[in-house]
Amino acid sequence: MLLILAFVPTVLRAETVEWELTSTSFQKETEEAPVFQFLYAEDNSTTNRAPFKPLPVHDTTIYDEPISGWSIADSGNQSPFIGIHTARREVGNDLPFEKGDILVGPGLNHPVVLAFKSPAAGIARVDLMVKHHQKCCQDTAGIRWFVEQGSAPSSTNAEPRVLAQGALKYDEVSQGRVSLSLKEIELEVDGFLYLIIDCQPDQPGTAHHGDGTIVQFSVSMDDPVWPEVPVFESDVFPILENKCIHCHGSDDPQGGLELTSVDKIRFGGESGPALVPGSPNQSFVHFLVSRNEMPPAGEEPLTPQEKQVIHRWIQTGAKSETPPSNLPPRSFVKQEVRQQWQFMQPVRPSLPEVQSPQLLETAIDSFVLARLEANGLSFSRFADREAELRRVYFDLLGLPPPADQVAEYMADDRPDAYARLVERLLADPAYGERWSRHWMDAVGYVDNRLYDGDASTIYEHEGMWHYRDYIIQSHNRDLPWNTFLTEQLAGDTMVDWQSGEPFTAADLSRLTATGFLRNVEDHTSEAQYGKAKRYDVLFDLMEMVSGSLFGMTMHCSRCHNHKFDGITQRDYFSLMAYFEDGYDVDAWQNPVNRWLPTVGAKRRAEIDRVNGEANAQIAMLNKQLAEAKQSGQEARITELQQALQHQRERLSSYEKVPVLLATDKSWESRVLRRGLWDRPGISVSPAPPEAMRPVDSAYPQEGVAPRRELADWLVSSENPLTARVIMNRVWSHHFGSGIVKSLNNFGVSGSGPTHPELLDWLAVEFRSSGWSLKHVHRLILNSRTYRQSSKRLAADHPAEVVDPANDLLWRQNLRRLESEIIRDALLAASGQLVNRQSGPPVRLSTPNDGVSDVPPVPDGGHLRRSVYLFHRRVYPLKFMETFDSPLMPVSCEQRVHSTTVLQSFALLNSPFATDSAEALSVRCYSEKSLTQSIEDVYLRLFARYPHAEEVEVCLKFVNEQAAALGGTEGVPEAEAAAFTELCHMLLASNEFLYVE
Amino acid sequence: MQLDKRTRRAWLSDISTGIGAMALAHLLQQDAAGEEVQSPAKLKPFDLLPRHGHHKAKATSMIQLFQNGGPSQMDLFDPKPLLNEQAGNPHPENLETFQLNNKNVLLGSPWAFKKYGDCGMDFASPLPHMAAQADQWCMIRSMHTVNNNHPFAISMFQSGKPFFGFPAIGSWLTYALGSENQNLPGYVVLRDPAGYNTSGKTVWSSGWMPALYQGTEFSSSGNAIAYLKPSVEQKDEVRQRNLKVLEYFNRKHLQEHPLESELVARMKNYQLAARMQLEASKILDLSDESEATLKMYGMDNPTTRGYATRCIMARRLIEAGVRYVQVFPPLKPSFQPWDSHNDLKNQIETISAHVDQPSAALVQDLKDRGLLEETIIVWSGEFGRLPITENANGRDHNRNAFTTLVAGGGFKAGFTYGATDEFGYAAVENRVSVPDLHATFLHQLGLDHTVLAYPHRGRNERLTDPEVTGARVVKELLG
Repeated sequence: MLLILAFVPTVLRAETVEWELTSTSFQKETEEAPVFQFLYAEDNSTTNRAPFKPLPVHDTTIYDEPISGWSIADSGNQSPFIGIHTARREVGNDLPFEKGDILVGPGLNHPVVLAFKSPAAGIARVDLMVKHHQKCCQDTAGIRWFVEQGSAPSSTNAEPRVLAQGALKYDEVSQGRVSLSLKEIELEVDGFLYLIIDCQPDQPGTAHHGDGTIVQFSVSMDDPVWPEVPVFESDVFPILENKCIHCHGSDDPQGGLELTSVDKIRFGGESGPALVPGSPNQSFVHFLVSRNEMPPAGEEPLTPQEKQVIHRWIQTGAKSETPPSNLPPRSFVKQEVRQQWQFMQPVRPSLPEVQSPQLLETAIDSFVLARLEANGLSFSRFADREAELRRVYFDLLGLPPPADQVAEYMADDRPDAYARLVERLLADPAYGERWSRHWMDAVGYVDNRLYDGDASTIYEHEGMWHYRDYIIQSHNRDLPWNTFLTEQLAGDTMVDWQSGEPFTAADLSRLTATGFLRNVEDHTSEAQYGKAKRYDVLFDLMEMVSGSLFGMTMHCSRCHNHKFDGITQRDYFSLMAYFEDGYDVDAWQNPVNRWLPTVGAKRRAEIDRVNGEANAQIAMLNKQLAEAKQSGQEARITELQQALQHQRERLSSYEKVPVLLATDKSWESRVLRRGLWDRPGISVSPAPPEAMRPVDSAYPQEGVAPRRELADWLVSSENPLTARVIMNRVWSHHFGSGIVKSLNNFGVSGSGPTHPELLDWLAVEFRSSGWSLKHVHRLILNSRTYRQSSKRLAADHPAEVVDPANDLLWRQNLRRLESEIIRDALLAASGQLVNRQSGPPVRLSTPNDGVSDVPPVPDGGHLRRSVYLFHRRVYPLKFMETFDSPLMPVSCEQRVHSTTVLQSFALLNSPFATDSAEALSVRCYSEKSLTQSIEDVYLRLFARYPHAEEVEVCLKFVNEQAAALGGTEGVPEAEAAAFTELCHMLLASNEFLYVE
Repeated sequence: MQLDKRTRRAWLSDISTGIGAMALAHLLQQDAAGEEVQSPAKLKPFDLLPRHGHHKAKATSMIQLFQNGGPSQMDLFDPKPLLNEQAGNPHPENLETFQLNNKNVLLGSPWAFKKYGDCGMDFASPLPHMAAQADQWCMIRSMHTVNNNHPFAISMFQSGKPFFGFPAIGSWLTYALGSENQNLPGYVVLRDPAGYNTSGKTVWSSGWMPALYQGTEFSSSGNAIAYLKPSVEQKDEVRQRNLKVLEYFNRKHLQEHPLESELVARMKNYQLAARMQLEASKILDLSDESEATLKMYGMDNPTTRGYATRCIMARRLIEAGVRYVQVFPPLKPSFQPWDSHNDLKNQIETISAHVDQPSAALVQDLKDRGLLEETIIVWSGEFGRLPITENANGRDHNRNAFTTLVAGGGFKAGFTYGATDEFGYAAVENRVSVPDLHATFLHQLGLDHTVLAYPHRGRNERLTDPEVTGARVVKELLG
């Protein structure tokens, strides 16, 4: 990884070196002695400005521009400031700012001071370019500039030596720019040069800190005389011996860190390696002493000179008289953590022996039965065929079996009838609609951007639904899971999207997949939010990524090393570094601009151009048409209408696909101390968490795009978690409970697997099947374990006594339908479901009181499956919310199933339940045979025929209710109304809500 | 149509002696409050049955009168003579601002302060009714919080964390203590029927706790609860027959799945729904309130009526045994009514006119009924405001100081605690953090904030996270 610091020393000839200001990246916390410093003067008198003070880092975009830099707040404005443009920007007609331009904006009373501190002695040359663009103010406004040589910024009395000065005004366009070289400047080590930019107001009281001044500034030196390269034994150790060794000697060193030799420092202590030769910023020992955190408070700190020595010693490669050994740096992760099951690579276990092999259907059963038998138990009986049909329909499609399927299936006596059913359903497109929802939960999919705090307002995340369709289609195609993950993490690195040419379908699909990384809330389009909010996006992303891919939270590790899970703070920020090329806090993209046109950039420009022309023409023609109509010129009207039609035909459109695209990140990723964005610590490189990879693995790798590297690691055979996590989720969706029950906590503190060998076997089998989810569905659905009855047994039955929670899986679990599936099932059972795939989300109403519904639309969109509804972060459809459809502060890795009285109200009284009952009644009611109508409702809702007693109760109910509703017995309207009541009560009953 | 008492009894008796086997009778009879008291340590299935805390409670319930937007402490509760003297001059420090339109120019307060009550508590003129209750309030002038942006500061005040997705304090209380009334939710939210204030319903979210513990919105007009009443009017007889046949279906299903307690809970919920329909409607029906009471709350005044209705409902809910009630300010003229970035004088006077009288009346009413001692009332925003000028005549957000008022629940009455600096920018003396305040509330309700925990993602989550926040019970506030 290329590290670009705030200066770039370039050796031009063997004996010439140049320092050029190229970046204003935040380095303030750790930079011992940066060559360039950004200061301001409190006093703007031309003669005596010193002392200069450092400009603090300011957390705001400046004038809505993508600028990263320093400034102070002065009366509410950011003034003065210095920063680097992070994107191209036009101001007015003739003021282009290019990405990378250093921008300086003095304040009315505060000149900006750019200081150069020489690291070497010699004869220097200064190259300077100042371009002044103060478009916003009156033409008389301008700046003054000075190049001075002087003493340290903090000194007050030294007389500066002015080397050059001048003024620039906007109206003098030809003179709005100055380029010059100052030669023969004699510099000592640590000598200072200053470039001072001061504003020259056109009139008092006008602060000119607006569009500012572009500056290029470099210093070069022939034959520099460098200070001597420090050596550990003679230069560094005496300092350590004096101030550190009494705690960090060989005898029980504090924090395990011994400072007696270069090797020992490299090996480090409990906080990891303390020295990275060549990189002071990555070296913990330097970090701590430079900030006076070591020696601890109360002891004598290192002098500035001593800190300089250590900085330079590390920077020059940590020279030592003793040759370095090959001792590897200390690992952060203890061996016992590495040996936790979830960090060991899964190995395919052999199938255990069982006493009753005749009970086995698929390999899965061996693992389950072996444990049952060890506990003196066995499988329950098979579920009834009706129950089995309903279960597999809901599990795979999220829909009840159509009424006619029940009879058909019951009549199918082929031995493989069930296996055929499974195959048929796996090939049904509704499978993708059902299973995509599980992944949408894990990634926190929503259709709105911003925080969804206002019930009555929706901020749509335009085009996000393309990503939802990508998930559905990937599931239906059984896209190998490793490809699925790789595309979502790094699709942009697999496609040439820069060329601007139209995308192939496959390319568009890969780009769409990066919508995965766009699910998190992003407020940064709002002007008042600065850098802190950008980091919030990354923090949310980390939460979503670690939850969906590792099945554990890394939240704690943002601020401190995770006590239980062997995830360190360094791991957290090393992982975060992977995403900082797309979410570059120093070159931030407004989230509303993070999209690609479906047609590619060139075609989009063409469409925009043609549409612009056509729309202008249309506006003009409409105006002319109105005039012609007024004056009744028939021929003219026809002519204009034809012209209008022609222009309208020229119009075309494209769609926006939210994506995350890599940029050229030009700054070092860092640990943020205590998780605070403005407390940068030591620098880190992108790497997967240490506990999850082999000790000797090296990251980052050369020549691989960072997120691609992460994806490759995730799906590599060395990864211990990826396959296990998804297998556990699939299992939980088929059994209502995972092999590891805490789907969101695969950590050491999680519940641990009930069947560890089974989980490993599934993980390995999944990988060797080509990461096919459908393969795993087949294995599970055809297993005896899955096909068991869910019925409880007598309280004194051994199974109930030994394992009342059913951890051993001696039966299936009775499961409540999820919120979306309740709605979908009601629509399907009542014959209202509109089956249409793909496309923009269906709008919900947005009443102030939050009791939303799906307003009817002519194309029947309001009757589509819930996966196509507009997903809101906070205000899901009220009916579904009542049944625990999740809020998505970030994501939802595990649904809860609550049982509240509000659900009773929703089923009894909501318009949706009432309308569904009505529709169901209309579909099923026949005045000729009430019994048959009742049968039909039972088939549609419960996938079974009613028992004789049930028919009797229903008939009696309908008769009595019809009488109560005002009609005499036998009057069709009253009976139909009574039948509707029956339908309503049946759909409100527990049997409908639960899957056997 | 409502079920009257007689028909409800008849219906219940019909349920319990009617169709089918009676094996369930014992399961279905655990509705009465107070039958079973559990300690929080032994929570098994999640429910709302009342249970004891860790120690003897001083208070049993709590009402939060949330004043979102950030009421201005130096204009209402915390007089700063120097601020008025120095108005127009710069503040000596560089203050932490939120918006971009601040000028470092001290803004004087437009109102005079007076001392009220025997205790001599300071109030400015916009809140005369609350001032008249001075001897009931415990005024904490040294509150501070962690974020100066509304959503995060509100989150902090409600859930102890400056981010979303964590349970509100009302969720913690109902999780820990259940509720005295099994026919109503344990945690009720009374908002303006017109809609939501800042952050909407995330403010009363139960986070990762079961939905049972989230705030249930009660509307003060129309349906008290979403879907409380049928979308189509139904005869009483028709409804009862419906519920009877539903009971039959559910019982048949339960026979197939014995031992599934969730199914039983769901059956009980249908009964609860019927009772709640009745009780919730009763809470709404203020016809049995005396003229004097209605007048005291300001029901006769169109400006105060909305907030007064919610305050009376809050009292009725507390009387009915609800554990925690949260009352929100009106949406008009602003959904963030105390957020006075502009035109401070006019804005504060407007919102004060809405909430002052009903808030004061609630304190007086609870006192008159002997309920104040066991009910904590808290009147507070999420943060305070700055001493300097925003726009022409407004104040920006300030996380470093705000004032919270508490009444009842064993808090010292007529007591002022803590102090801010000379301009009211930062709490400097006896500082109280939001987690401190939470810890103190829990303490009064019989709970130890260091012990009360909910396991989530491998962590024993706590409201106050004492090791991180240093939260402590502020004993100095307690009588």
